[in-house]
Amino acid sequence: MLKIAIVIFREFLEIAILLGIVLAATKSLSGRIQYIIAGVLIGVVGASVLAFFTTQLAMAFGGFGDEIFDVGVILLTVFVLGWTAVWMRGYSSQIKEEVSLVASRIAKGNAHKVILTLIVAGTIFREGSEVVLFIYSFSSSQSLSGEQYLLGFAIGSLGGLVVGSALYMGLLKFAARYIFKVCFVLLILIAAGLAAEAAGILTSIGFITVLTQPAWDSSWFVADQSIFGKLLKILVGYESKPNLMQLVFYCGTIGILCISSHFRSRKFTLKQ
Amino acid sequence: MADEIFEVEIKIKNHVFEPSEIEIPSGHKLKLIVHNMDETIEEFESFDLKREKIVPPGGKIKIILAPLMPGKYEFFGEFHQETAKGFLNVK
Repeated sequence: MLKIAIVIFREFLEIAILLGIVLAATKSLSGRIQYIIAGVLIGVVGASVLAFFTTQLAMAFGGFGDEIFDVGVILLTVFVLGWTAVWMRGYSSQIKEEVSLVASRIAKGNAHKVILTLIVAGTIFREGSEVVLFIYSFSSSQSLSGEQYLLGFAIGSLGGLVVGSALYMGLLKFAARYIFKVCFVLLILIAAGLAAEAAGILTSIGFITVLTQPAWDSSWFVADQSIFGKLLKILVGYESKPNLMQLVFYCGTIGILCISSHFRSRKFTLKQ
Repeated sequence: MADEIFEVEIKIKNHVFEPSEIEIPSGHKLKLIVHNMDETIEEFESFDLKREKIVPPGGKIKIILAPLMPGKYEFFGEFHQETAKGFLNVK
């Protein structure tokens, strides 16, 4: 039971943290709830479908099917997270304007809400299929009673929910004044970390063959498997042994997003 | 010969990798074939190899790796981390 709870918690942690930050960042977006629910539904359905096609997917693209697919989903997430960060930047530079004016401008387009749906769906999709497979396998092997297994699932998912909500409320309460800045920085770091993860897979399968030398080894300081290491991985993309190409992807993402947000906030200042 | 693929078979039995220590010559592409002999699902995961892959109960997966530099590369089973541990020793 405890084992199920731990595995489920670990899988849900990333979903919870990312959603907590994204939801805090988009707090001011009115009518976003439907879009979030749509994202959750698409994500859950997608993850379940993916779980059943895992074997076929693995065989695709000369045995690299799921790696290529992973990289695709990760890079899409990087893109939508980056979009959100850049969009927030433009919005926050206007915060000094009248609130109603800002609200009416945001209400003009649904693009940001669709992006929100994409983020929610993509995140659940990425981590969720593992949860589905894990539960399915556990229930079919019948090594545990249904009750124990439900309890494990409940405790694990509740734990994830608590962490996500705590982060969400903590950000709103303690970082209220700096909420845009804090979320902006967090989103960019998460996006950069994911880009580095994609680079890691691409170098590991041999699609990228340059700059594969390890940059450093800090596993003596913070191990990847430790809870702290895991948290750092989700929040800032920590890896104890990154290679040079991963650093290029990491810094490149930060650079591109900072430059785009700079231009976006300047565009808004000029308009006024 | 960098193009030559070095193949390694690993079994997961009672949530333990067999063999758990594997010696490999450097400079070769690698193909790890992981068989899951258990009735439960496992995920082959490695931070050092930067890969993770679900291994269904009774199933097998292939993991192809670009040539590795000499060193120790740890891997583990994500769903049974206490027992399912091993490493590649690239020389």
